[in-house]
Amino acid sequence: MNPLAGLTGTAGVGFRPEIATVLLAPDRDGGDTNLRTDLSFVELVAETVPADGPLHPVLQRWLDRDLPAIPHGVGLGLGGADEPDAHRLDHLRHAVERLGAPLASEHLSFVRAGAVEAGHLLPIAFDDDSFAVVAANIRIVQHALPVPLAVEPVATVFRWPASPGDRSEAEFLHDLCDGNADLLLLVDVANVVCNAANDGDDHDAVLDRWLDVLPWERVAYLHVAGGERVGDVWHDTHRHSVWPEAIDLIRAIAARTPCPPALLERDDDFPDRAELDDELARITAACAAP
Amino acid sequence: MSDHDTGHDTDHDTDLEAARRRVAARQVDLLAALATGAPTPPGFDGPRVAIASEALRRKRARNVEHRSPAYVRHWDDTHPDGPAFPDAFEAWARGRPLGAAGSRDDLVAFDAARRHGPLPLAVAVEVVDARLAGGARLVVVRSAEGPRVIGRRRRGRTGIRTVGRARRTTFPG
Repeated sequence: MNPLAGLTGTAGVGFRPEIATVLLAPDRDGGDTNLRTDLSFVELVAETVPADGPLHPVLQRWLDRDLPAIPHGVGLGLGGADEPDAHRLDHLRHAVERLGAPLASEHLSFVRAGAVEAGHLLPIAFDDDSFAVVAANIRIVQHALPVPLAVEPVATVFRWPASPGDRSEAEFLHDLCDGNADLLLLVDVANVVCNAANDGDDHDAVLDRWLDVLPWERVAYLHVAGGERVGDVWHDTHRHSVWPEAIDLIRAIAARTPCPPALLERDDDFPDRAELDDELARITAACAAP
Repeated sequence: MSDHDTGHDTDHDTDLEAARRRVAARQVDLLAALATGAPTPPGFDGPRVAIASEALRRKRARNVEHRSPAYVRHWDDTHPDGPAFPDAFEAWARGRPLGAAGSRDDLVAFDAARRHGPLPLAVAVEVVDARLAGGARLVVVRSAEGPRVIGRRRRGRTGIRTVGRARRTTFPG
């Protein structure tokens, strides 16, 4: 039921026009020629997939080879109080169809409230009200899509106040899957290590809990990214080098379960090709390592 | 179907609607603290919410820079002793939430609030582009090269064009 099950232990990259050529293998003269064969999948920010008109030529070559490309939504607000907006949902479904995607993904976050847009993926509470709303919103999205949906918990520098008896983040994900047989997860290992640090928890204990509690057979793929640390606060920026702690977590996952494929997200301050290739090689090595 | 048969679903829907209302109220309060400087709701870590709030404004500044790099270069060139653009924008954006049109609104509103003189035509065009994308048809700008009328290209073509020289500007460009 996991459409990416065949890609276990491989790496992919978030497609951005600025780094499109990372999908190409350099030829002997230093130019870019064929699609490289050591990346197994790409992901596009769903809202940037055009409704019509040409796609980026490198992306089009990727699609012409029937390689997987996943639309990754940032605007639905699965954790928002309102039902997902029908127009945004239409666009996500259209992106799935244009890319021939095997699944779609979105965040467990809220991105607007009242008339105000956050412009960012904000954390949700892990209480029963939030659980009921998220579970209902997920079903609405699943109903509108022709492919499975994977949901991703977000990075945050603060948490909602918790009451005794509230679920942990990992338990929240576990219970969502428990009540929804078609639901898949997208685990961002950078978000996990970032949140563990920002929550002030014992890193190893938090990561063990994640490894123990999560239904790993439901994890369609992993994200990995970098950020910066300002004092004791970790910021998940996607414009700095990948956190070594995130790579370590991939290795810990691979030691325990067939490692879901891992995708590098870089959104800004793009490094040169050599640095990207080095990060992709480290991710691939971590995925493959038992 | 009788009311009795649908009773369970009705209860569920009522519970869900009530949960949506409670979640909505709490999310509105949190986002007000993050985006408009309203007090941090009880139970949250105030200093951390403030850190997140500043991070949101700096992300907006980066998005404006991506949208209009020439505008930001011009800002930095013409404010050699003042705050660099990200700091100037961050200060301006305190208490001002992101508009529905995102960085487009941020650019137009920041420029309207902080402009002191005419922009070079090439820079003014970037600001006008944001206003045209917002639905305007023609915009008169008081550029450093003199007043100009700028409009969007016709269907099938992207980009914007200078329509001509305006006799005078009747509103701040």
